[in-house]
Parts: sequence; C-alpha cells; structure tokens
Amino acid sequence: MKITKTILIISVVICITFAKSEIFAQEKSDIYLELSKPLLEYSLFNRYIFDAGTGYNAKINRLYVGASLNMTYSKLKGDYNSNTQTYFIKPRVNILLPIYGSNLTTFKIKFGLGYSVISINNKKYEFSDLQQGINAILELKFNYITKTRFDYYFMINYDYTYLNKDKDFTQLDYYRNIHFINFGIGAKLKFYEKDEK
Amino acid sequence: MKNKSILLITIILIILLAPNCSKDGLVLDQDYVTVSDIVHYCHCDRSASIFFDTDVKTIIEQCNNKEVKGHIDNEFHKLFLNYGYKLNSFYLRDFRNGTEMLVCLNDDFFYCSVIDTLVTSQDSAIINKILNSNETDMCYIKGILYSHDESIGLSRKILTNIRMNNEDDIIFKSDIDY
Repeated sequence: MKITKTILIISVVICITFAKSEIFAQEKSDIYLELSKPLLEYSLFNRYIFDAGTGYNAKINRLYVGASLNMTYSKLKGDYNSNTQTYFIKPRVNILLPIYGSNLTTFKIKFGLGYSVISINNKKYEFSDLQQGINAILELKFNYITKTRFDYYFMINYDYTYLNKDKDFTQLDYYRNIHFINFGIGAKLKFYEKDEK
Repeated sequence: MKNKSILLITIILIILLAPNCSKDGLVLDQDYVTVSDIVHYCHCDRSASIFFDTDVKTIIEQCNNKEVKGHIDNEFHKLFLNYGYKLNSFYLRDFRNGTEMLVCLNDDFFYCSVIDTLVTSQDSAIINKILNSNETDMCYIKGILYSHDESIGLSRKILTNIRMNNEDDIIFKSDIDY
C-alpha cells in the first residue's frame, strides 16, 4: 500500500511541475495516471470498488512500449462479512498501437501482460491470504490532445487474471479466472525529444 | 428460404450460448469444501431449456453427501435469542465474499424451516456446540447436501442446503487459513 501511495504522489508532483508549459513537438514518451470502475466483474470476490494505475510509455517507431503498475481495491462491508479487504497489485508490460489520429484526438489499442498478486485480509478473523497468477489486459484508449503537456483520455478495458492452483483457496477453475470490464479516465504527461537531450 | 436459415442459425446460437450449469471438476468427498465452491458447483439458475432436466439430475446426483467448511453467520446468536433451542437452521458463510448456504438441523422436510416445533436432544447438542465455539473458529460440517430444483415462472433453479443429524457432524477448529 505504501509503494502505491508513493508512486501516486511522485506522479502527481511530476505532473504539476510540467503542467503549465506549452510545447508543439514530437511526443517521445509519457507517464500517466488513471482511475477506473468496473462495468462487469466475474470473480470470487465480486465486490470490486476501483482500480488506480500509473505507468510509462516510450515511442518506438509507430508503437508505444511501456510498463505499468495498477492496484485494484475491493472491500466487503457489513456485519455478515466483517470487512474483508482485497488488493490486487498488477505490474505489467504494455504495447500500444495508435489506430486513428487527428490533431485533436487519437485512438489507441493497448495490450498488456504481467503478474497479479492478490492480498486478502480480514482483521476480525485474523485471516490473510496471498494468491498469484498471470494477468493480461486489452484496452481501448480515446485520447483528447491538448496544446499543453497534458492529454486526457477515456478508456475501456478487459482485465483478466488466471490464478495459480491452490486447493485451499478454491477447487473450482471457475474462481481461478477473474474477469473485469472497466471504464475509466486518465491523464498523461507528455515528454518531447528536446526534453530527452 | 433466407429467413429460415437465419431463424435456424439464431436457434442454434441460442442453444449453444445458453449458460450452462457448472461443469467444473470439483473433487468432492475427499476434503471439506468451501461454501463458495459448493454453492457455485451445486447451484444453477437459468431459464428452462431442453437441457435443464438432464443438468438438474446430474447436478443433484453430484451434490449429495458432501462436506463443507465456513464460518457460522453472526445472525445465529440473534436468532438463538429469539427462538432458543427451537432454532432449526442457520447460515454457514464464506467471509471472503459473503457467500452463504443454509444448514438444517435434523430436518426431513422438503424445505428447511427456521424454527422446529419438536426439539430433540440432538438438536440441542448441536446448538450447544455452536454456542460454546468461538465466533472466529472455522466450522466443518459433514452432512447430507440436499439439492432440489424449483420453478419460478419460466426460470428454474437448483437450490442446495446441508442437513446434519447429530453433534458429531459439526466440528470447530481455530484455523487461520481457509
């Protein structure tokens, strides 16, 4: 949790530092911050609240290649469930392909592959469990291009995790598959060629 | 002719895409299974289809005589205050996701009732065992899983509960792990 907070704070500080300058040049890389909510969820937990993520992309020819770190938070409330909390930590490597571009907007498809670590905690029952598995994401990004350092975007993604086998956690393959369809917003800070010289 | 083909393709697609009841490979009768696993595996809720009767029969056969583990629902103590030893059922819960299943004490009826007019010494012994356990203890129940199918309009569902006979069918352990 501390790592995620630190990353978020650093990202916000960098964004604020660069926010005011206006530049018209070739974009070389970017860092971004995004938040999303689920439209659909199929998992053991079934109470998913939100996902926050940050990442870096660098332009290589036509493609953008990068790495990201997302955290999904889920909480069960009420007497019955006695506040079971679940965190998904998802580091990933990503490839983005622009499929349409104009002066104002761009559409990009993102494919990411990584790992998912799931931490489940319940204080009342002194219960904690750690599950792990591979994670993949397919995302469609709609960017609004501004003349400042910042661009904003909407995204919709399909986020899939396949957990390692653990008979104590579940005997069913059904629960080893975790599916999310999320909709969210994000902001990215652009870097240009001259920044890198 | 074209319309017929479209109709035929649509019917085939509806049959193929109709949600199936669980066909997952649950290894039962070996270990105590979590409430979430049992409920998902033995539950089926969907519109009636030509396959439903076969599915119902298979699932009901697969879901008998199973062992289940979970935590006693907090409501048990409130219900005990109201009904005392007449209490005839309670919920077993998976606190990881809130899934629950009904546990019946020594009930031969089709539907498990909340209160029992005839209190036996076995019922009281089970209730005493629960009252003497810690709320946070994992509860292991060995009983008869009773699955039946129920029609609600066009929709049909398989419901599952577990029925115990005596206090030896229920044990408590202070396990931290699931």
